Amino acid sequence: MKKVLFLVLVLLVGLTSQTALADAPDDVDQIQLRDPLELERAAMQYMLAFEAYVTTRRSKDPNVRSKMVKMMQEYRNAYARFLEMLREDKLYAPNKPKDPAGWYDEKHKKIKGYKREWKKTDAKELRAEVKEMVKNGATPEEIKAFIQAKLPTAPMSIDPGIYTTTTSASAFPLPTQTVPAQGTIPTPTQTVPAP
Amino acid sequence: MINNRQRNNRRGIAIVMVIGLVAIIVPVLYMLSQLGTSQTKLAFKYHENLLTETTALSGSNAGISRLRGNIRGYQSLTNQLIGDESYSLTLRPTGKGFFEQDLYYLLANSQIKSHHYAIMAEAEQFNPQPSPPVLVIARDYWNTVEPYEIDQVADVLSMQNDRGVDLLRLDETREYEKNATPDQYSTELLAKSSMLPAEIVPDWPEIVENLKSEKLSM
Repeated sequence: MKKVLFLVLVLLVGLTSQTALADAPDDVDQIQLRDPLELERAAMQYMLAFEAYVTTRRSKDPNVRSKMVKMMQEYRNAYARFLEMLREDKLYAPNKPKDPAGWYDEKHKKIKGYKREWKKTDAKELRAEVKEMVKNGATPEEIKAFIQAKLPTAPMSIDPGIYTTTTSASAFPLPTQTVPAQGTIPTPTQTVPAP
Repeated sequence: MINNRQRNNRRGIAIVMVIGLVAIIVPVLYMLSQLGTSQTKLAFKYHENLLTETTALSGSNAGISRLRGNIRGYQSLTNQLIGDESYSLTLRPTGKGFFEQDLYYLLANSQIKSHHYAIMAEAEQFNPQPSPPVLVIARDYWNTVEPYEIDQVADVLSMQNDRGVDLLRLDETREYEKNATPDQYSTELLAKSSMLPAEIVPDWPEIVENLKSEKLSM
């Protein structure tokens, strides 16, 4: 009897200590796979706009602080654009935990059999540049133009399916992976079939 | 010489006066004391409410600090003291972003006597390159006075649903904000001044001017 109670207790503890709320999308088929470059550009834009806004907010220089409202507006605009993309692609539901890359990968996996390799970055150097510009009194328009110019022009993530595998002629053949240069990676609109 | 009858009359008058005074003054004093007590009680209630909210907010800020410090994954801290009050904090991973950043539900709550206050927000924790501090973006704060237990999945799911309803309304508001012209937006907001507390009304045009300059304009 004690063992049964113990088992029930263990089960209950297991159920209540769930660490992640793994909510799957309602219908994976509804998800649209947009060109990842568009998503990366939108995410990069709000990330850098946030840096500009926070730097303005933390500044003690009245001249810099006077630009705070405009900087906040730029951040809100950038995030709203990103959110709109997620909404259009069915990668976001307000009453579900956010997992846009996870939901994207589910569809990607369903179509291609594997997930996309997203680039792990926080754009530290670019954020440092934005921070410096804000401190030096750059206008919100200048910051916006700078951010726009620095957005990625080729996908930062990689579709593992476009790797090519060759074998050497040595006694211990080792598979080598050749990744094309960033600029030559075909955009997913070319590689991912339309949903 | 005052005879007995006169003496009795005076005594009678004195007794009536004393009884009359007692009958009037005692209820008045009682009423005044009750009035003072209820105001004091109200003041205490407000104070406790405010304290509960600020304590929960401190918990939420503590959560952001932990994420900035590159502490990752599920975290559940209970009975964290700030002064004499305590808060609970839960950081619950929900998924990944397009730069492999971790997405979280940031939950904090506090309880003082019968007052509850819980905050739920979203946070993005980027990956440090090459080292902390970590970029953290927190947004879409939502609060409730319902006694939710933030470390229980069932309660978090309820909060998630309640918050989802409000987020849908927020989406509608954002949509309106985005599509309205600056003039339409400010006219609409100015028309709402009659619904505001009297103290805010004189400052409302200036507030609207600021809101107009912050308006979404994609």
